[in-house]
Amino acid sequence: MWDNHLLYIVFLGQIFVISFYFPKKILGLINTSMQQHPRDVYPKLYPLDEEVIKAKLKIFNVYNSLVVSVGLAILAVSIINNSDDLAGWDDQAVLLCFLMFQYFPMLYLGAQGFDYLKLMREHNKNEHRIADLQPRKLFDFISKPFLSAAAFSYGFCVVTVLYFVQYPFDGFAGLVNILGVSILYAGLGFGIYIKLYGKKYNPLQTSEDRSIETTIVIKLLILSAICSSFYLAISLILASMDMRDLGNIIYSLYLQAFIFYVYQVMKFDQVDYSVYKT
Amino acid sequence: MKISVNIEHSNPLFTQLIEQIKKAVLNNDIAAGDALPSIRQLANDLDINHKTVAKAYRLLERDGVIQTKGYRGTFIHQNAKENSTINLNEWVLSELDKTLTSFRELGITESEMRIAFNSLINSRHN
Repeated sequence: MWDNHLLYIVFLGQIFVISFYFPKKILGLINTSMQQHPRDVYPKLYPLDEEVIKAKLKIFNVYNSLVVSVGLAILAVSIINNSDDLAGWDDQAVLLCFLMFQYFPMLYLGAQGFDYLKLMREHNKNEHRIADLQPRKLFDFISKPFLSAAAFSYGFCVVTVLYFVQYPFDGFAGLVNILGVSILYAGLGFGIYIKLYGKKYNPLQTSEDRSIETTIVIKLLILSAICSSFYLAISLILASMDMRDLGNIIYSLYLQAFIFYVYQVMKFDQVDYSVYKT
Repeated sequence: MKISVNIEHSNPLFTQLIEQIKKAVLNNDIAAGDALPSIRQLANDLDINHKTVAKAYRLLERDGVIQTKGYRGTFIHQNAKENSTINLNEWVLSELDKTLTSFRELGITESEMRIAFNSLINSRHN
């Protein structure tokens, strides 16, 4: 029973952190940025009318409100029915499906940001293009111990899976787990490569700002690789001890901690806004 | 050290890149052995075609200003400073001028020279 209550509390936390706290903070950062850097002084920051931007942010807000409502409804149904599982289904499936649902507003905001930068590039009439004549290298942005931690966590996960191949438990998927974590690492590695050597999406961004942004994104990608492989190893260990429910709780807590960390590293106050002036 | 190109300038982009890298070498802004960005990085940062940067790098390597060391990357050549002062295009022009003058003295017409030059170029292509 206690683990049911713990799951409800953690699920409530997941709803609050990912669909209320984080979006509210993001909107706060964007609104503060717009207030401190008005269109008449920083026209290049606004390839769109302020009203259009506000309307898009409102849609983001509505999407999140909808997600919160669905999440609270799932929680209410579970509590009213005194169900062992969330909404009477498999906890893990509900948590995963709901997480995907929670990502939709983020994807919407990401797509809008992509379009915004595309418009900035189209409006950029500057015929001079500047670049650094130094190569960017991975270790300019992250430390070797941090990357070693990612390699270690991958190794730990692989060793854990290999152990359970020898001593399997009910529901163990086998070597597919290694394939899954390897695909994840390959994807994150590709993301790092694109961030290091890929196209510059904001045509006005200074080298310093780009360097700060690259550092943040690469750190987050490596951190998510570390978290994912450790989570997989921990969930296998818990599943082998017949403690799958605790794995779901840890999974949700992991995500919430990650979102908190993302917000901590997302800062707009260091950005050089002078490039957006007339 | 920054590099810039003017996309509206009459000089081709690869020429602008070559000139600026040579200038940076002559001004000691970059030294022998210094690493240069990869073709992909520079092309993406300048938002220009990869082939343009590749062409500039290829011509700089031919001129002995840079050298490519396989997967390790591209570096400034040890003799880059001396080699940056040599302008192969000017040398080609002066050599052609001398040859054309000697042909003219022998009474060869301009159209005969053009036909001969084109057939030579075409035969090398084939």
